[in-house]
Amino acid sequence: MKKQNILDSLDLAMKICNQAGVDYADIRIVEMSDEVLKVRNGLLSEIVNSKNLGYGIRVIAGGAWGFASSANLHSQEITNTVRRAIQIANASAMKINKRVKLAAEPIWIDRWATPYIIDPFKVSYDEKLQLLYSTEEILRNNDPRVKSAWAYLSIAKEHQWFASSEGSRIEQEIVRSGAEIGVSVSDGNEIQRRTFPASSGQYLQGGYEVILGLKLKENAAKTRDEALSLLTAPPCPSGERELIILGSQLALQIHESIGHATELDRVLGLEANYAGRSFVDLEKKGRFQYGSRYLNIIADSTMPQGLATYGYDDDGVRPERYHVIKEGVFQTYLTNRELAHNIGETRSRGCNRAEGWQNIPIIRMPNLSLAAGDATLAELIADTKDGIMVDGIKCWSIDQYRYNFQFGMEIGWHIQNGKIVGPVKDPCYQGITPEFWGRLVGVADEEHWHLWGVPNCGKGQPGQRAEMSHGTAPSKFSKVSIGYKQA
Amino acid sequence: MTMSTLLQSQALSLMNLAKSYAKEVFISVQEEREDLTRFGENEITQNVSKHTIEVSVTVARDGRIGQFQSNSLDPEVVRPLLERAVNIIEYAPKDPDYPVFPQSVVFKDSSFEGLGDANDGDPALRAKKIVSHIRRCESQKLLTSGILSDQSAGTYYLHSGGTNAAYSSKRSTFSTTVMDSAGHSGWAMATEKNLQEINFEEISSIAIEKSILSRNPKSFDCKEYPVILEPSAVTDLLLFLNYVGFSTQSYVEDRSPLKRKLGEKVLHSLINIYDDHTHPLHAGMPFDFEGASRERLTLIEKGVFKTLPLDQKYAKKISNGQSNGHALPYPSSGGPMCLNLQLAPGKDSLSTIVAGADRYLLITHLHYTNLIDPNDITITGTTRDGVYWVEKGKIVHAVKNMRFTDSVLRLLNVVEAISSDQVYKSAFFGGGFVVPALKLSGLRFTGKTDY
Repeated sequence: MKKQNILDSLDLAMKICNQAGVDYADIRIVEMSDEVLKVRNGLLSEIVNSKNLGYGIRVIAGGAWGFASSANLHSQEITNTVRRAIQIANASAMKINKRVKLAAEPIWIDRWATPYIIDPFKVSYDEKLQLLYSTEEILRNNDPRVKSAWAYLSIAKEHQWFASSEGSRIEQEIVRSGAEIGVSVSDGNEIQRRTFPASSGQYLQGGYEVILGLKLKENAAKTRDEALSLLTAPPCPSGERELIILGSQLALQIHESIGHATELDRVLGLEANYAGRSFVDLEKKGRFQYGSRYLNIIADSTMPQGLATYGYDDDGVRPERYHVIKEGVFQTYLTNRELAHNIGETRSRGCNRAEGWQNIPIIRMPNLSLAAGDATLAELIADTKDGIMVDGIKCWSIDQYRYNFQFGMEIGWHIQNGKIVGPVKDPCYQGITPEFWGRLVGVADEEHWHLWGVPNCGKGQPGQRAEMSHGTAPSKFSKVSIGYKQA
Repeated sequence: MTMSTLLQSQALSLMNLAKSYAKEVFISVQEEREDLTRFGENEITQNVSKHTIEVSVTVARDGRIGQFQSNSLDPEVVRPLLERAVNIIEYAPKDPDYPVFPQSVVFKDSSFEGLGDANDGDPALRAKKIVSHIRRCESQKLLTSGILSDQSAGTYYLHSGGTNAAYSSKRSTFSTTVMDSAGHSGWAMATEKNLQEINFEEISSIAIEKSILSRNPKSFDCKEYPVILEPSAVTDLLLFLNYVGFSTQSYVEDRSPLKRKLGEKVLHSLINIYDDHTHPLHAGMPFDFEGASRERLTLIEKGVFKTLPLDQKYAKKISNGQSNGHALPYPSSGGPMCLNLQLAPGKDSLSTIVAGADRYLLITHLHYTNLIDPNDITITGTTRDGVYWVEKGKIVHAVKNMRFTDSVLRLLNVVEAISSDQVYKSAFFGGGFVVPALKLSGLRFTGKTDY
């Protein structure tokens, strides 16, 4: 679609909204381009080569929200969509306890874009598929125990135009790239799997250079061999033990037990029917001991390469870097313009985002990272008398208050007297969120710190998918309950 | 011209365009309308309307394929995507098991009626239903949240060999959580084929009653307890049994927990599981995504593992070459799959089963259930919105939520009774199942919570 047509559509929608006398309105026009290529057992098993364009219009009328969306950018359909959004807002106003009040935000007229080196959509299919075919062949290695081997890459470009009745006009272009390789193996009795760099893939904002930097081919043999080693590995010992959690698994631990728990809409009960509420009630702001002094959690949607890095959120708010947890003490929630005043804040934290054009923005995690500590991984291991080190997400489950959780990993390593004894299969741990983070006794340093992408975070009704990143360094916990089969 | 007629005409034009690039072409058009009102803390908090179209085109030549997807059928938009799809063919390996897809099959009623220009329910009607429920909760000093949605979906499938199939369906859902100021909660949900069929008063009453019954819960130790799973809790078991146990791809690749067990008794003899798109509570398509007729499957009969879902490719691998109509769009990364599972009902109603139970936990539904070990389909999750201790046929008190970790295969072998009343429900992570309640001699609990 031509840029002038887009800009005309923004203006038309705002003009109709203003004429209708709504309290507030915004429009987001979003064009999504996606590509996924997956090779599995020697065949091209998934192809996404997709374009999708449409717009969502949000209005506040009678003190309540209305939202309608359409893929048709003709002027009559824009008019109809605005009318539908207003009709919906009027229906919403039949039962509101307070009128929607938006936290103030400066008017922004700006353009923001992901920096990248190689446009991933301009790299030939030949090059991309050769990388996948050759990597998958190493994974399979004609070993009959390898039942399924796969390699995929995924790239996306989101071009978004935002206009609000307050006068903001923002254009953004976000580009992200990622990939995953993995195997499922069996000796006829046992089924095990291993993935690299992370289960569900590793993604960063950036171009094809991100995929090249993952070194998929170089890590294929190690990934396969680790999976095969699990077929003869002993079961993970259970009981209360020291635990070292590596990269992507620790990112998921932060995501589930801190990220979702501190979303203000959950805390206020607005997600109660599906995703649930949060144990981090309003009285905990600024005083709750969430974890040990090693726990420093920083929200930052301005950092390079994060999947939730943007110039502006879908409220048109420019994000900032701030502590959610500082030296173990809970500081503040993740907010949007609508809800910030509930915690006495005058400005949104810039966390309102929608999946595509067809969904209304809701509070989503920014990039949320654990600050690096000062140990090396070798020191964390050397200081462990009897513990388990774990890696690779296999299973995650957490209750509706984000309080009781259980995670299963692809692989573990038993550590005794400061040395890795060998791999163990089916590691699993469970805990209660603040007790667990209270047992954080060491975090590795910046050399071990990496940003891990979460490409598939689900929330809301209708369900929406969002992307964000979590930076972690290997971390050590004391006295964690490991295993489940003893019960 | 209505939207639906326009879509049909554009899809046919696209077929002609695509055939000029490739010998074999599949087109599927998915159209969806959803109007959804959301409420929380006794007020309407979100209210949305969306209409989406997804067009997926596969071009094939000598067992090699390329694909594209778009939400537009405009030739200006799709032509460059089609050219990219054709380009992919050049680098795609030949599939040695590339099947012959159904040719010249025209399904009955395949004229594409589409979804019309709007759903039946207007936002004011949805708001009125919700306001009535909120008022009932407010009168009892309770807080409520939930959704009321009106959804219609259509599928239109075309193959260059002349196959032509279309199907549309509707669903309306009312789901609500009710809790007191201390967080003691109850939940209820109904999905019907339209808004008018939902019994709002009944759902509202169940959620309120469950919330009141949930007060003063006692903390139980983590161990195995006999349980009665209400239908919503049973869905999570079926979701993972389907995903892992009924995976034909895993079976063929010798990595299924049910590998080499076709014909063997794998579950309790009370268990009968079918995949049945004709069941009145399902809204299943009569064809699959390869244009084959969807057959009713007996997957488990009296506990015996009888058959697996097949598409054209897997039919060649393990059967007589005949698909039973369970294909996902080719090339499906996960193989064929059942989409209309039904756990057959038993003899007694749920209330009769509860009345006959002594020292059982009655569980409303499960939260965030996930697969922890595919070897025996071990899953873990937590209870939610109503756990009650039953003695001598009566609920005597509520119980605090707990985490369970147990094998689906083990649980479906310790069945004591199945209720006669089936409902259509989705699991926490989706899917739609027709399920009764289950009485089990034991479910293993492995964690406690304060909530």
